Amino acid sequence: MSSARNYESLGREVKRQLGDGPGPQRREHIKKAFSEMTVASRHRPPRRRSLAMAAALVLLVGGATFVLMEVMVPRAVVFWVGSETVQGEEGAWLQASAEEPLPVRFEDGTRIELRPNSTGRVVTANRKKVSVELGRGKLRADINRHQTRSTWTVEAGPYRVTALGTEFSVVWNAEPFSLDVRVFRGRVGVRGPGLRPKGRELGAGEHLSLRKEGTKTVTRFGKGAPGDPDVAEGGPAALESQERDEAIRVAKLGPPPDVMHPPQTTARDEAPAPRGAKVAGLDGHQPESWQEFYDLRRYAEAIEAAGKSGLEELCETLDGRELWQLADAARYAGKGVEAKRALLSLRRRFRDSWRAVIAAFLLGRVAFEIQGDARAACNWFHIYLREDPGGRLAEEALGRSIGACDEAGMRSRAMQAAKDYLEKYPQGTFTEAAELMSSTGGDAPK
Amino acid sequence: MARKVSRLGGCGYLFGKEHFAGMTVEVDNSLKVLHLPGQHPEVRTLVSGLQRRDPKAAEAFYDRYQDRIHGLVWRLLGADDEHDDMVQQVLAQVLASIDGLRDPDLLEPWLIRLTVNTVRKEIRKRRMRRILHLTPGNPEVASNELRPERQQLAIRVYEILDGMGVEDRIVFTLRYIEGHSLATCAIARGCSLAAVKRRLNKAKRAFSKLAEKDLVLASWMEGETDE
Repeated sequence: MSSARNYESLGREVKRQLGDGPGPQRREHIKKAFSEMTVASRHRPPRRRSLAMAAALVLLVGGATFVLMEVMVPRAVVFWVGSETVQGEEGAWLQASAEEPLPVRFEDGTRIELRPNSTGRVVTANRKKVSVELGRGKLRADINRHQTRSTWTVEAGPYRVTALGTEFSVVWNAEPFSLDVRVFRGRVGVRGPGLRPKGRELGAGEHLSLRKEGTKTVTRFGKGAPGDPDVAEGGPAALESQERDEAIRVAKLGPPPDVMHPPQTTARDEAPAPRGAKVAGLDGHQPESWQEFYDLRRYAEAIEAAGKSGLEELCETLDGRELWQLADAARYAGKGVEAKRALLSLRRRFRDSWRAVIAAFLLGRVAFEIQGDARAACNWFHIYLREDPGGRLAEEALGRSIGACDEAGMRSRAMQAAKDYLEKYPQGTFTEAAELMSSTGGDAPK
Repeated sequence: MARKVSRLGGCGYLFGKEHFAGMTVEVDNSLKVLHLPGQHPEVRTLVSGLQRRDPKAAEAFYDRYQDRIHGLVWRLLGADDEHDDMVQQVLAQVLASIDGLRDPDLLEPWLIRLTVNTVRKEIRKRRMRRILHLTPGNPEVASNELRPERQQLAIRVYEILDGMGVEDRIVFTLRYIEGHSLATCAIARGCSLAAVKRRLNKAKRAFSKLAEKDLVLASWMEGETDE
């Protein structure tokens, strides 16, 4: 333990570095808002309405400031290199060691990884644009398109790979000249010498290979290719079981990465693209139906297409599997109303199926994460727990209900959920949340 | 005949009034509180004005206490980029709760406690959302307005505070960064002086343990005594 004087001098220095907060202009703005807030709270029941007005003002001022800042100066996107606490700097070259890859984690959840012996740097990182330059070697990127608002590009020599919400890898070597781009999820656009002026768009499972001698090949790998281990075998029952397992996994973790660790194929053993494969974009078939967009993982467009063909009707006519996909598309696209509509329809029309039970859990997630309705989320998580108390999502539902009930102001339910969680899952994923709830619950602001 | 009673440490209720360290209360023979020196008469006017929702009173209140509120929020959250929203939340809370302030003389300690409670709620909420993976990265660190080149020490300290318990973080910040006395920390947390001392020792242990891994901070942490 250090002496109190050391802490005091440390604290003084930190206080000096921090300063006294915002300047007079921002303060004056708040003063004006407070004055208006005071007038607005007049002649109203004292508590609830004044709070609502204050919240609206806070949102208005915050929103206006945010929009202004976004337009004027795009906010920097923070990223960390290697260990979690080392913040990266724009423009600084990064070199992965010969033994281990070097991860770079961005605040929006996107992750890139420089493979061993590779060199690269983050050239620009802000809310509008993130640009990464690959000097040499291999880079793997997993763009979190649910969170990011930036346009992502990877520059490799004279080539530019533009990510359209996706997971992909780029291998670049100047000597001998070679470029390989593999797309595991979503789509990317590649521009540069040897390609058409508009560039080449690649979909999930496609591999673009460029060599010095001018050879350019686009091949398919992973899902759908011959020998793909993901192809279901064993008849409808096994397929149904696989579907359920996948649904639970996705409900828990999020959208499925197509091929997390695809086989590293060579030009010789890669299979050609299947005849008639639907690849939308510069040179392919243009998708129209929501299912085609869904297959291409273009979820926002899938929901838009579903809306055009009549979402209500689809919810009443699709079979269980399709309705599930529609709900998934809406969730991934961040469309809370549509997701809720599809999931409620699933629960009503297929009430005895496993999908109806998991839909309760997903309704909780949609309510909390997309719609911000913590009260509904708390209720849905408890409905799931009532319907499937020993289910594979029970821990997840109980853990998430702690935060949802707490945020909804349902303090006793949150405390009870935390207590139950700690009893049942002392080493679980949400133990920290449960302990936080238990330890600070009594000290909550009065 | 009037006499004066002072409290040397801690806080609590004395003669029906909330009473904290350093405060001298003037009472009559029947122990009725006559005056709380140190408070200004205009504070009562401010409080009644706020209770009437008078915008002029609101502005006067803001002018008088803005440094206190801004400073407290700024340092408790660590130069957060949502600072302005947070201050507005505190002010909204002031309006929502001012009718319940029974003794206008206690406006300042009441305000400190209200500010700390509002910030505590925000930290808990952010932390819960981070645990539930609703917020990417580490929002309590990543979203501040600090500049690494000029405020390296502050960044490191807040990264460590972020790894500590919410209550530990608050009491540590109030005592060492904000520079408040233990008695004021007790008022801000609404607990006894002994409880604050216990909490502070726990917070120091937690901070020290985490700071050991940081070469820069470790150099500040040399020495050995307890408060």
